[in-house]
This record gives sequence, C-alpha cells and structure tokens, in this order.
Amino acid sequence: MQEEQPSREQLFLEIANLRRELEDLKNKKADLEILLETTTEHSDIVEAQLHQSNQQLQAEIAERQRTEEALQASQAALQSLLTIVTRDKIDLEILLETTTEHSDRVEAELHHKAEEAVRASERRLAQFLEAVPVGVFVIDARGKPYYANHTAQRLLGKGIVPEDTTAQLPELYQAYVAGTDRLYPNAQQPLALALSGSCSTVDDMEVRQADKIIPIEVWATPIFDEKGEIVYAIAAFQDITRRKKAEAERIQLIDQLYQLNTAYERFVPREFLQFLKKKSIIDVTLGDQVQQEMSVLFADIRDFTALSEKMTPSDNFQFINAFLSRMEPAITENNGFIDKYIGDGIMALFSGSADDAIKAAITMLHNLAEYNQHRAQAGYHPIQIGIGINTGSLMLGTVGGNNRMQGTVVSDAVNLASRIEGLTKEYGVSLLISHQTFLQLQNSSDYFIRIIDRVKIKGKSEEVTVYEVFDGDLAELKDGKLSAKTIFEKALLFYKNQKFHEAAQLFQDCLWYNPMDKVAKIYLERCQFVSTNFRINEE
Amino acid sequence: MEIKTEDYSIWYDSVTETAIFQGSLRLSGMEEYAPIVKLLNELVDSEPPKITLNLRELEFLNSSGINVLSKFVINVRQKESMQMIVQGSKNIPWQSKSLKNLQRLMPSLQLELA
Repeated sequence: MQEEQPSREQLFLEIANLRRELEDLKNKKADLEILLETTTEHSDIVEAQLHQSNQQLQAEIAERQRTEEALQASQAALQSLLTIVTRDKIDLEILLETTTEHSDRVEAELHHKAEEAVRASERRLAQFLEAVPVGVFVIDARGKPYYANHTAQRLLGKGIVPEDTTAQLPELYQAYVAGTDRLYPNAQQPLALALSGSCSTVDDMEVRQADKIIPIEVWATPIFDEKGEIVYAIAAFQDITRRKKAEAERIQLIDQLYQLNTAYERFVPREFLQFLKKKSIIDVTLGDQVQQEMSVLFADIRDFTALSEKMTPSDNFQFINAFLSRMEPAITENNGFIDKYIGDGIMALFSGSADDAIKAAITMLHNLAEYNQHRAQAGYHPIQIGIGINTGSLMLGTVGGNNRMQGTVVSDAVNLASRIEGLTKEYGVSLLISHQTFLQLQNSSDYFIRIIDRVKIKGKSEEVTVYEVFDGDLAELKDGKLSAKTIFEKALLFYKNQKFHEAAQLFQDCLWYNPMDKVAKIYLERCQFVSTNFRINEE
Repeated sequence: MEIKTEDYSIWYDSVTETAIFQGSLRLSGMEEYAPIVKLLNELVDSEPPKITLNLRELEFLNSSGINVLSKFVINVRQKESMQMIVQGSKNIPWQSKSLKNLQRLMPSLQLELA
C-alpha cells in the first residue's frame, strides 16, 4: 500500500480545517457550558418551586381530609334531621288531612242534620197547620193564594186556585158580607188589610158553597221577612155557625129577660130596689128593710064608688087606667115613683125634696083639668080628685111569707098622708099637705098656700096643721082664693081666738069673693053653730 | 284534672288511667283550647305507662278539637315507652273515620270502636 503521501498543501489545508473545527467546538463547548449552567439553574428554580407546591399540596390534602371528615359528620347529622323533618312532615300531612277530613265530615254531618231538622220542622209545621181545627190560608205579597190547610179547603169549598186567575179573593172564594148579597169588599177583608201591614178580625163574612152558607170569623196578620218587608199574609178562620146561632139565641134571651125585667119593674119599682140597695129583684129577700125620710102622696078619685056603679067592669078598668096613665107621668117627672095603686088611688113616694111631691101634685091637677076637658068634649062628667101629702120617716121593706111577698111601706107618716087625703073631701079642696111637708119646702112662697085647719087625726094624740096648696085649682077658683087670702087668714085668727062673730063676718066676705070656697063655708057654719050653742048656753 | 262546662266535660281517671271526653267540643281556635291542651300536656309529662282516651260520649268535635287530639297523639308517640288506647263509639258518625287517622300518626295506637 502505498498511499500517496498527502501533500503539504493538503496538510495545511487540513490543519486549517482542523483549526476551524476546533474553534467551532470551542464555541460549542462554551455554548453547552452556558446551556448546562442555565438548565441547572433553571432546574434548581423549578425544583424549588416544585418542592414548594408539593408542600402546599400536602397541606391541602390534609385540609381536604379534614373537610371530608367534617362533611361526613354533618351528612350524618343532616340525615337524622331529614328523618325527623320527614316524620314531622308526614305528621303534619296526616294532621292536615285528618283535620280537613274531620272538618268535611262534621260539616257534612251538621249540614245533613240541619237539613233534616229543617225538613222535620217543616213537616211538623205542616202537620200542625193541618191539625188545627181552624182554616189557615196564606197569600203571598202579590195577593196570590199560597197555602190552604185542610180545614180551609173544607170551609172554602176549594183549595189553592190555579195561578192564571185574576179575580180578587172574595170573588174567588165566594165571600159575602153576612146576610147580604154583596161580595165582601176586597179592601176591607182582613188578608188585604194584612198585606198593607195591619192586623184585623172580622166576623161578618160568610162563604157560599153550592149547597150551604158558612158564616166565618177571620183573623189575619202580615208576615215579615228579616228586612221587615211583608212577604205573606196569613189568615185564620173558623166556622161560626154555632156561635152565630148561640148569639142570636142569646140576644133573644136577653131581649126576653129585658122585657121580663121591664115587666117586673112595672110591678116592683126600680127605686124600691135601689132603696133596699138591691141590684135586682133576684137579690130581694123577705125582711129586707130600710128607713128613709120621704114625702108620701095619696091621690084618690072623689066619689069613685058612685061613678063606678054606672059602669061595666070593663069600662071601669078602662076608665081607671085612662086616669092613672095621666097621673103617672106627673109623678115620675118630678122624681117620684108609684109605690102602689090602690083601686083608683095612687100612693107615690118622693125621696128628694118635699117640693117634688108638691110639684107632682100640682101637675097631676093640671093633667086632670086637661083630662076633664076631653071628658067634657066626649059628654062625660068631669071628675075630681083629692091629694094628700105628708113628709116623714118611712120604713121600706118586704113583707109576706115564703111564697108570696111584696114590698111595702110601714109608717105613721103614710097613714097620716092617707088621712090628709081623706080631709080634702071634707074641706072640698084638691090638695092638702101636712105642716111636716110645709116645713120641708125650700121656699113656701113659691106656691099659693093657705092654712086650713088644725085637726086631730083619728087614733093620734097630737094635732096636725094642714095647709092647702091651690096652684092646681082652676083659674077662677084660684083667683078667688088668692083675692080673699088675707081676709081668710084674718078670719081664721078671729076664729082661733074664739071671736066667732067677727070671724063669721070675714068668712062671709071670703065667700063674697069666692062663693065656691067650701072651707070658708065650713068655718062660717062652725061660727054660726058655735054662736047658736053659745047663745043657748048663755040662755 | 277536670274541665267542666255546660257543653262538655273532660276529666282524668287516674285509677283506670283514662281521659274521658263527654259532650260537645266546639271551642273556637287554639286559644280557647289552651286549657285542654295544658291538661293533656300535663298528662303526657307524667308519663304513665299506658293512657286511654275515652271519647264514647263525645258527641261533637270541631276541627280545632281534632287538631288538639292529633297533637296529643304525636306527643304520646314521642314518649316511646307509652302505650295508647283510644275508645270511640260507632254511633257517632265522625268518630269511626276521624279516629282511624290517629292510628296513622301512631301505628301502635289501639283503637276500640264499640
């Protein structure tokens, strides 16, 4: 092998190349060293950083582990809480459900009960209304029939009439004014009045059915709602046939009783019962009595016996009654009452003043004068009467046995009045009164009175002064008595003083004035009688 | 332990350990029921081993009332040792249904409907 030896040049070139390479390597080495240094430094930094973060991570992991433990603990707590809450929730749900269901149930039950109660009460009410023996009829606020119970339907002859009718109730139900052919005026019938707010009763209505008429009594009243407005009117009515019949019978009975009572009163004066303090004759018993101051008047027809002999019994009664019926008013008008009639005579009592008795007597005489005029026109003789009045204490009472009794007056005053009446005939005057009556007069100058005599009454010890009241005399006689009154009184005085001669003269003067004055005539006769006897005695 | 009014009466018979309700309970709201709630709470607090609720003559009970009874049952249930019996009447319509709900609150509750 012979290799060609490199030339120098080549060597040189080689050396040059090598040198460049060296240089290059040197550069590279430097770079690498720098690189190494940089990398190392960097590594250190990075390593340090890694270390730090590793440490942080460690801490974090520890932390996390702790948190996890805590979480696990709280999860357990929550779990138990959840259990409780769930339980409570279930409880509450059940509670709510229980309460709601209970509420619904109770409500339903109450509602049912209330409805049942309402229905029961309605049924009961309807039963009540059906059971009552009176008709019950209800109309609504417009006046349309709404309800009628069984009795109502029977009494009316029909029930609720169909709505399409427009007739008014009285026409609809044939209600008439009792005893007439007039329909009951709608405006006055109680249901109509009830609809206008008032409550009323009528008993003059009758319902006409085909074959009968039923009188009814109707009562009606409005029914208000809660606002106070009238919603219905209710009427109750009943058949009053029996009542009407009983009423009619009662009225008839009362009428009969009234007539009987009036008849009784004619026999037993009302005043008599009043004095005995009895309301009715029913209360009067035997032995009832009362004492009272009264005036007693006796009146009698003069010479009635002679008069009656000429008449038939029937005429007699007719005459007496014609006479008495003219006398009676004079007594009652002057507060007196007739105790009894005694044949043609009258006994009357005056419990008020004595003036009543005098006025009655004067009126009787005036009535008689009038009666006599009628008699004269009919061709009859006039009649005369005598009246005697006395005043005193009277006992009124009942006398008799168990089966027959009568009211009577027992008193001396009555006997005296009767005697005084008897004296009128003797003295030929119409009206005489006792001094007891005279003293009771309110004002004696109201009458024409003259003293007549002082007389001894049969069976009495003391004397009684009697006075004549001549207001009732006929005008002529009255005037004569009046003109001679002073002379007459003077004459009486002479007579009393036994100056009979003077007295006789004056009595004669009286007779000149009044020839019909029988009293003056009597006194004159007495004077003459006394004078004659006196002369005889003297002789 | 007794509450008596015109409408209802409630009392506790300690011999039979029975709370007896009679009449008609229609108080309005929990405020008016407070005295009854108090009575029942005292009963629970005394922790008898067994408690009987006799409602056989309780004719009427309103919603607040059933509420009171329900809460009472819950209170008893929470005392785990206590037994409970509720006595009702079949003749009172609300009882058979409403009292069954008490069992839902306390399944161990014995319900005696007669």
